[in-house]
Amino acid sequence: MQVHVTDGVTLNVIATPQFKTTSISIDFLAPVSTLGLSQRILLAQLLETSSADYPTQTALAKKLATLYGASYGVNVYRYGLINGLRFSSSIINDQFANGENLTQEIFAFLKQVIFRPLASDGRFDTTTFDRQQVNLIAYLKSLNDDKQYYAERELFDLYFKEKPELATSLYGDEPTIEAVQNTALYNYYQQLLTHDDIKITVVGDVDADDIARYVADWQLPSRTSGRQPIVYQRPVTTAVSESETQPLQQSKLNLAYQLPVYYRDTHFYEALVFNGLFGGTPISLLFKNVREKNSLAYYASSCFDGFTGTLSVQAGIDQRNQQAVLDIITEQLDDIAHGHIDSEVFNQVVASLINNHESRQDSPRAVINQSVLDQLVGSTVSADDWLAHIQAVTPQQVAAIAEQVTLQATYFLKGDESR
Amino acid sequence: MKQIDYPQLGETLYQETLPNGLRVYLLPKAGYHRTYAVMTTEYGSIDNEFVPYGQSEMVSLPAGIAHFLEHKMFEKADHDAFDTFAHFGASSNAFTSFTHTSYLFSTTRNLKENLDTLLDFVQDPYFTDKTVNKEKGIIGQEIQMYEDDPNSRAYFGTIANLYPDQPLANDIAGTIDSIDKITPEDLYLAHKTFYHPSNMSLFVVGKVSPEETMQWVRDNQGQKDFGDPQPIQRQQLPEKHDGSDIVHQKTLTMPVERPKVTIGIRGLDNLPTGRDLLKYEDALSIGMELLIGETAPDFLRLYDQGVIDDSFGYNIEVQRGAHFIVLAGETEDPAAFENELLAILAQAKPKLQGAQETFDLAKREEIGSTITAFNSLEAIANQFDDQLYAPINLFDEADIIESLTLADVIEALDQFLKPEAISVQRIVAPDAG
Repeated sequence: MQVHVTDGVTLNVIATPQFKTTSISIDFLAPVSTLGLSQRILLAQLLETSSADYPTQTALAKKLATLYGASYGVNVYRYGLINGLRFSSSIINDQFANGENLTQEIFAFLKQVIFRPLASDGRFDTTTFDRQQVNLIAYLKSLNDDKQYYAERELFDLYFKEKPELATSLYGDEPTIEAVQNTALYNYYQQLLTHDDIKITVVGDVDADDIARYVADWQLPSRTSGRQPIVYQRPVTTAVSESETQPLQQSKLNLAYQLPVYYRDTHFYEALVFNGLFGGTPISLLFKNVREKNSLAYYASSCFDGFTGTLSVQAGIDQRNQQAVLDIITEQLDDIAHGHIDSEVFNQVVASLINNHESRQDSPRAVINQSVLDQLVGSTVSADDWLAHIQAVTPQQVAAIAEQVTLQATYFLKGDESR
Repeated sequence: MKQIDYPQLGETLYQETLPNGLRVYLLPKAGYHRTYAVMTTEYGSIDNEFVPYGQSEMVSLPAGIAHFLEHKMFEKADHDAFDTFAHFGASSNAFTSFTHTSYLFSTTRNLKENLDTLLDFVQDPYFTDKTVNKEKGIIGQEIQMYEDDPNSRAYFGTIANLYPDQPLANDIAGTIDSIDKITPEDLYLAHKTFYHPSNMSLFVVGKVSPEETMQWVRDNQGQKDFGDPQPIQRQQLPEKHDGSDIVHQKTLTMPVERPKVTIGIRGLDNLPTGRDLLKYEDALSIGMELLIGETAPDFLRLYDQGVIDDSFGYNIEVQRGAHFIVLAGETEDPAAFENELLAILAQAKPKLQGAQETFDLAKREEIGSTITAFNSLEAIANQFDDQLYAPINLFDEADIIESLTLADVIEALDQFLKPEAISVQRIVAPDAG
């Protein structure tokens, strides 16, 4: 059930007895920018650990423990050009809590933590702000110890050189976060609370009218609403490549291609099947040929992002095999483009995609994500329609997709133990 | 087929042990679109030395053999089980721990075909020199990937310091050198011994109708002959119960952005069995929460002092033959991190004695998270262990937590925490020495 709470604020309640918990998301949405993204990440860190009513992690954790270990978290996400700050929570159904009205209590809690931050005189509590800023920067540093993550970041820095806000890590940009001032962040948060589009989504064994009442109690002011652009069509540029040496045992090869197909446009389902066949599933050509046949990697896969028309490839390999792996990857693409597609493998890929899609209905988080996304793009695809679309895809169409793939960026993290 | 009701959880579990010894569990979940099935053998990386099925002498196989076997089970003479699953729309995978190897699939369609595929590929080994040698390159890359991962080095390195002379000290995947020695004959030997149905269980959860599904499993197993079950003899290495073998301090250097410190605590105490074991584990879990979890005053103090941050956490492991806790975190000041945490552990008893109010909260939280876990098909099936806590299992956990007292928690921690059982490891960047 979808409710128009006020201009710019919608509530979507998906009532189902399937789960033992009720899951809630409150999303604040705005166009993406490097500064905005970093500010949101610092906000997430602050608001997840403190509020006026629960000034410390310990106070917050105790409150959540009284609510039978309800979860509460704040995170940041990006779909193409849209940036979301999400408050999320899940709590066990009242039936497991001796009849306590936990759903009502969690909404009261969320109201406190979102709208009453630990702040006074136009700034966040100084000690808390300073601590969380330091912690976030430390965390960003240690993320670089994850070499798969690091290599992907470097790749997208190359690929989105002209659009850096799409390359910025979802954990933030270190220099930007370092420069954020307390008062500026507080003002940004006030602005966000009053101006961002808000989407509230609830999945669980709940009564939609009850939820609507709890949300009405928040007295959210109306805001100017309008659908924001979400898709970024990146122009083709000259391919670039970069390589770096670090003292590692395993090297990482990452590639980014432009694939001008976008979320739910005419050829979207064809691109999904293409990606599944190329590297997006464990039965894909990359997995088969780089790993199983030639024993060159533990992981070798591809990923398709329909919000930016990007196909990326990642493989963890021995540094000596860089050229061999590159050749195999290119060969697989060429094979698909020439229509050399095994019909059994093709059918397996389609069946795998159907399995993944149908499985999402068993995950409250996946149901919430799809609901928000449907609203952002302004369309819905029923389970039956989705199935019909994916089953209608032909090998010829997939070959045509492969022909549109253009290599744009190559990043090689070369492992050299002697260094 | 037995039917066991757990009204508090709103779950009904179906169970049957087949004539060949395979233990089958079915848990229907109303409203779910997906079925998750996992087949598990009581065979992990620590089981390198054993008496093979039908023989009488102990053999010793190279480290990493259980994990290698897991990789190699998928490949058959004329097909790959991965592809058969995909043909029927399922995704499949497998994993190996210290004590178990599990094979799984997840599907929204064709449950019978996928179930047959699972049972058949796990029970029908096929190894040749060629396929075995090919796998060495893939697993070699896997080993190197984990070698480059400081969190993995921190965790497994600490366990190795706690159990230096035990198979637990070996990496689950082995080493490049140890896996190089693995032969098809080794794999057949391990399979014959540990993949006998009497050493295995099958758990199916989600969209499943018990009667029909159990019949499918019976039919599949009825067609096969595995020989009579035989008790498995594993080599028990002599363990020093005074902890005198523990490596108390170690520093590793590798390129890390920030120093990482881990504190391992080995259980030197003798464990109870059955219900009391699960109770002991839950008591440790709540005890650690009270000492240094997010609701603990010491957590806040150290967080505010910048000694620990959000990277701090701990893990409690109770498994066949060993139990231990590993605390881990990144810190700019490893010495302060170590001193503060060791002081808290040393003061555990008096600290816990004053924690009655937080104890009631922690119990509530544990009950909630136990119930929440029943949303996740993977959590239910992967955590289920009908051997470790036999005759009870994780479905009984909410009851056990409900009955716990602070005195139970104090007693468990008191029994577990021994200063001579502690090992500290630092990982620092080379230039930081």
